[in-house]
Amino acid sequence: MSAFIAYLLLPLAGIGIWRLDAVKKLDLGGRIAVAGAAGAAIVAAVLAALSIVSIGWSRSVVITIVIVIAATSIRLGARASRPPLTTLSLREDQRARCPRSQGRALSIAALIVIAILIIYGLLDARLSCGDLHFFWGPKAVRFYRDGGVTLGFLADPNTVRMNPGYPLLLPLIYVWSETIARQFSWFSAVLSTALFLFGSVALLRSTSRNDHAAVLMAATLAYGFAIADAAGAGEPPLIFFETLAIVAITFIRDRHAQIVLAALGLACAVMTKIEGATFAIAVVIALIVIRRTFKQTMLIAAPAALLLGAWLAFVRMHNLSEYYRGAAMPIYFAAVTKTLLTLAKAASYELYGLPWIVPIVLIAIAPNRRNAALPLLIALLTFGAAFFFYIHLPDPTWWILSSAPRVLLTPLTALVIASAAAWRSADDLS
Amino acid sequence: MYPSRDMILLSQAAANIVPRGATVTAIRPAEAPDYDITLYLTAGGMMPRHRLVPPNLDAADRPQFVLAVREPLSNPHYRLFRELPEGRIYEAVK
Repeated sequence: MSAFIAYLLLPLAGIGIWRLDAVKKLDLGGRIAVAGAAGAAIVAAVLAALSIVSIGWSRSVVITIVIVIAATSIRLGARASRPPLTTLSLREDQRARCPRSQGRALSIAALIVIAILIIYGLLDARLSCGDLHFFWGPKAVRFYRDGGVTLGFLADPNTVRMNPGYPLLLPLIYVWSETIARQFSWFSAVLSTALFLFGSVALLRSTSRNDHAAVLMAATLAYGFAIADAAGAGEPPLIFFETLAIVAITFIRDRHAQIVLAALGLACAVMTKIEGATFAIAVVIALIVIRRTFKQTMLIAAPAALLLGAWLAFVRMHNLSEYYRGAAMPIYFAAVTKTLLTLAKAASYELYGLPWIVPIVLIAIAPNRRNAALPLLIALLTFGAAFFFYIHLPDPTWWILSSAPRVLLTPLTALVIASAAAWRSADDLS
Repeated sequence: MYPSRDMILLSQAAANIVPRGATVTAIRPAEAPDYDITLYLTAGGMMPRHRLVPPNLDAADRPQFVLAVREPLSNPHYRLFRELPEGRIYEAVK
């Protein structure tokens, strides 16, 4: 139980981010989700920093540092807070916090039903991803056992199959849970999938103020996670951080908050999975093509680039196994047709592609289709990137069937967000 | 059912039986010689106090213990150490 509570404590660690005006305007669910992302980043950073300076992880040290960081950021936030809200701004805030879509009760009921179904699926372990047992979990268990991220473990030839060159954020979040509980809870790791899923839903609901979009997101991701057996793997947190980045640049008007939240989402995404790097590149390209805001784009991408650069330098310095150079491998053009057909089969999600068809139709009939351009381009780019990487094997059939349902969750999420954006007017941003 | 499910249960039980610090691997014997490496990775998460290594049973530095799910292991380098409902534990012949 305490292992699961550790995940619930993450928003407390990152609550300092509430001082951003744009975050203050979000509803409670959205604010908790944003704080959760910040908390995950803080906790992972603390654990990584302790390893860098060779201080062994202990419950008291880790919790004390996290509490000090949270308290300091809250105090700084209180000092920097705005003067009392005027009546007009209060009304605006209330309006912002109360989604206006009709059928709100029905939407909430639908969200509850989806939550019950996905939690049932998670708790009976049938949605568990093999990767949790093959390397995400074992890495966390070993890191915790060693009291830190050690080169001895990462460079051990016996652990080469555990992807030592993979970024560390998810194992470190699992270590946080382990630190609180003093043991690794596999079921808590699996159940954390629901938190990341509904964190993503809360982010979209809060920033788009569209209950229907939230229900579509919840249904799509819950179904996608179930078909892809994604529980406990890297995809649930990856999708959560990617959602934060996309909704920040799509729905938030405040330039400062947009940069901070998108940068946070991108930085966490690249440190969660290799695919996070592809996503970050897609976001940068989309921002430059659609918005033509070079400076803002660089500010958003800078933390992710710095973190990933530092991690790759470490990996290269110690000659750890990694797969970032996959794009430089030879391309097998003869495999293009087979790759496309197999990818299409995986993308159908055993439901005739309905998860894609619904948001595409919603975009097609929406009144403000141009608002969907940014997330739509991200969806296209990340889908294209998946195809590009798959044609680097002469016969990628097994690889596609075993990974594409999870990998394609990124473009699918971007597409659902695009459908929400298409139903919002440009002057109705957070 | 996937053999990894059996390995989760066997390695959890084996963690309290096999001496700490011993080198251990995990296999499904019927898959010899191309063992599914995910089984020893799975056991690696369940046995943090042991040293989980790849399934090279005929190498000079072969693991001290082998966890086997489903079928019994037939290898002259190993003898049965313990039989459990979840599978069998074999010890290297010295």
